[in-house]
Amino acid sequence: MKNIVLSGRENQVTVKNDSKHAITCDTASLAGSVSQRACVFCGSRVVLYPIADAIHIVHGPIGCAAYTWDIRGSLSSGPEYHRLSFSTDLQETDVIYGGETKLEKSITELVDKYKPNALFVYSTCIVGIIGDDLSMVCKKSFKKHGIPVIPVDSEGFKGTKKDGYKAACNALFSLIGSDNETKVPNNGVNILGEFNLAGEAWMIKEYYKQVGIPIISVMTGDGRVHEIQRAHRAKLNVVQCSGSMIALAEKMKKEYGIPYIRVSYFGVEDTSKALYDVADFFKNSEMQKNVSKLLTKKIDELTLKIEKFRKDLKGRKAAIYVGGAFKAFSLIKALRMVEMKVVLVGSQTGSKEDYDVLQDMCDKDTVIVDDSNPLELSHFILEKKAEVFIGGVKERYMALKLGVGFCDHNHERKNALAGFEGMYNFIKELHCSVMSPVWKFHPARKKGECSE
Amino acid sequence: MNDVKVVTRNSCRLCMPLGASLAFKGINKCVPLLHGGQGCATYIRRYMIGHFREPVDIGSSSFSEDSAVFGGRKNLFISLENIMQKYEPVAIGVATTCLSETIGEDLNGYIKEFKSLNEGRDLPYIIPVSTPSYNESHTEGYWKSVKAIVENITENKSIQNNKINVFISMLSPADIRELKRLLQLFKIDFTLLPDYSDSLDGGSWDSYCTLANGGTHIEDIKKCSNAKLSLELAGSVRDKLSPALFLDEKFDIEPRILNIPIGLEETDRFINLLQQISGEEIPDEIQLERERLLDLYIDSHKFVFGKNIALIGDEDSVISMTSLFLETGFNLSFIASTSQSGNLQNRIEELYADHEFTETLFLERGDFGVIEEEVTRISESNPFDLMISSSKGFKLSKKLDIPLFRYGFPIHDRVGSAHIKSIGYQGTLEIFEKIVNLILEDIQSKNPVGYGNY
Repeated sequence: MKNIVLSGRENQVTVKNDSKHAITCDTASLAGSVSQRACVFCGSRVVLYPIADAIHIVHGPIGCAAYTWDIRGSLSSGPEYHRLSFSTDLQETDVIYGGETKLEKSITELVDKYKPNALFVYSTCIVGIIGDDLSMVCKKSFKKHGIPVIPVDSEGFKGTKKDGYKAACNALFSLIGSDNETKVPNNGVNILGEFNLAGEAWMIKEYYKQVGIPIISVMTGDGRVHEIQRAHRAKLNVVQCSGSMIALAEKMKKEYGIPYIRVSYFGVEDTSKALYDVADFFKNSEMQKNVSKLLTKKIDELTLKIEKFRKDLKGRKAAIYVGGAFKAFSLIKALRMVEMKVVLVGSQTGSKEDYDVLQDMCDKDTVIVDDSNPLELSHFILEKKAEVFIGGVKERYMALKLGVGFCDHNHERKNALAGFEGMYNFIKELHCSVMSPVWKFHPARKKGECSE
Repeated sequence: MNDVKVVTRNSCRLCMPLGASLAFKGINKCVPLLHGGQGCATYIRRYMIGHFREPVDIGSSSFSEDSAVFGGRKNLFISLENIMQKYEPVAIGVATTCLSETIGEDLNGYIKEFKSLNEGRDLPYIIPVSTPSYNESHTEGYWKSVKAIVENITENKSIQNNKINVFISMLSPADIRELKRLLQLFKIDFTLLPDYSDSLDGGSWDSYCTLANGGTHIEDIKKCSNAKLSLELAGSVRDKLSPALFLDEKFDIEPRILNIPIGLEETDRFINLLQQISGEEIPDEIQLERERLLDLYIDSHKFVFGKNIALIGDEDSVISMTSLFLETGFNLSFIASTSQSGNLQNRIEELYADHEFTETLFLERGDFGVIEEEVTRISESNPFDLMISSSKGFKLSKKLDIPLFRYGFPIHDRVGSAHIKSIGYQGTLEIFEKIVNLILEDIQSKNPVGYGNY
């Protein structure tokens, strides 16, 4: 029988039992392992692209921009430059003679045509190798056009997706701090790591509004350059998806003394905590009362609505493979609300601390994986008889082929899954995946492998 | 001045390694491996998975900073070993990316070394191809890879057999199956390359299927040199990228290069050739399909006459679709290709010399930014009734309030992209009626009392 786990990856796959293991993570993908992870550029794009009134231009050959054109579900209430895909589309001559002039001209064309509030210029694999000086071109363009032109160090091979997050945080940090004039509310917060997929940021902002907490900026869902420029005047950073934006929170703490808390808006438990934690931070009893009022209303509503799904979902087994581990925590808790069991959990970019927490949270015999690949994931979901897989588009058909239902919980989703309304959508989607009558025809299910 | 001439906006073309990956998926038990950054493999996987709604495993040598400085040899060897261990493939297709090309990797040299270091081991066939994304498009990457497969695998001629080689453009799995059916009806024995109709359009599994069963067998590719003829279904003749011309030059095998048989006329040419090759009478089944297609054309002729189409797609299919639309009475004010061959207008004007293309704008080296601008401009004096493109054309079709017939790559916002049959009389019939019905639906839904035109 073939080895499911390649040599070199042994410490990235573990099973929860009575003793705790150190799991290897935060490392380059093993060559040839068919990792589900992409590259540094992917990490940067994920963080920055939702800034909707800025132009995002990729400096490199066409692939990087072509494959990322409007593949996200990030919504904007205004300009939608983030749904356009721009590239300097370097050709062979540019590779030989350099692409700086082309980049400069491209930036000018884009500024003239679209009049954005800023530009982000992403470097790709060959930029450093052909010796293009992105910083220099960006500085020159800034002088010429008078708007921020920010280089992003996102060469694909220079690390992993996490390094892409850091590069994006650096780019954002360079924008922050330039607006000290605009009036801002006194007890404002920034929400970091929220990308307004399917309008989730709007949902979350509405909760905070009802509690009485003003939002200075959301980074970067429905993002605006000017809001980011005054983000340093918030009193607190509320960091979701901490994998991607903790670096920025750290920098803002260091430079501006702004503290941060880690939250999640997935699931009832974590959404409630996210609201309470902010009210508690401000030690504001009015806010705390409002949170309580809001939660009572929302939780009552939700509990009523999901009642019809509960009995069908109780005891069913789920597998989770997500980008950042923080989301996995929330998902495990959310699934517990409907008494579903988690048999496999993993992430692309979890840290050592994340995996420690996961091991604590999980039931015995749960498989825990880091930076996994199709062969591992499929083997475990079959072995563990999972009935639903929560992951992204690259995992979807692998699960469906094997007779395992699927719930899309990644950045390309167009269905809101955050907050209370999102929790309802999530439970509903789990229910329709698990309860579909098509599974009775599936060969793996026919073998009697599903649990009743 | 708001003219955009330099920057590319919303690219309609994809890059060479994607074409390579598709070609390699057509070989039985072959894993594609991209030599370069991991992002390339993951993004290309995502794109193909979104279109075919199938799992697609593509390996990567996952370049690190070290690899970019010292070369990717070590990573390549590790990735080959790991893929061999996990997938037990018969072949591994290794395509370069812009990164590995720019640092000047000697892929052929590495592969030679890997083979000599592993002498005595049962290695898979390792097929290298150079596909930097700063050149051309996914179509050229695809053809280059098909040719590379033939170059690397085909052995010397022994005895001529009665088989033909069939090299195909990027057809859908349904079209591949249709093509095989037609060849079989003429009792023609063939080796068709690349055949991804199983690997990219399979059924359910009861355990993880690392490599599908179908696909062109290496043993058959080895014997391509013994064929009596090579049939190549493309649109443009790409001398340097043509596997049929390669086999002609090396083994003196007669090449017959035809347009993809979409439409009555192109299919007639194709069927007549099959008849010549096989010596068989045209089977009744096919004859009846032709009759039904012509009947459909005639039933529909008034609904389509003079209707204006904006046609956007890969060069090979655009050339044949043009034929379909001209022979049924449509207008084509806008034809755009995703390639940069410089051949589009010439080729179409040469092929359809009876037709005047003075009212048609041809666009290559375009992107959806330019396409949107030009189509909008043209529609002011000459409105469009229908658009043909991949899913990426949806926004423009919505802006113009015209129906979109999804054809090409990628189609990720509908199911069944792998099942779009368009070749032969039967395939033409299927897409033609879908297209006509889109027009009828549009008329009916815009009609204040719901009267259509049927």
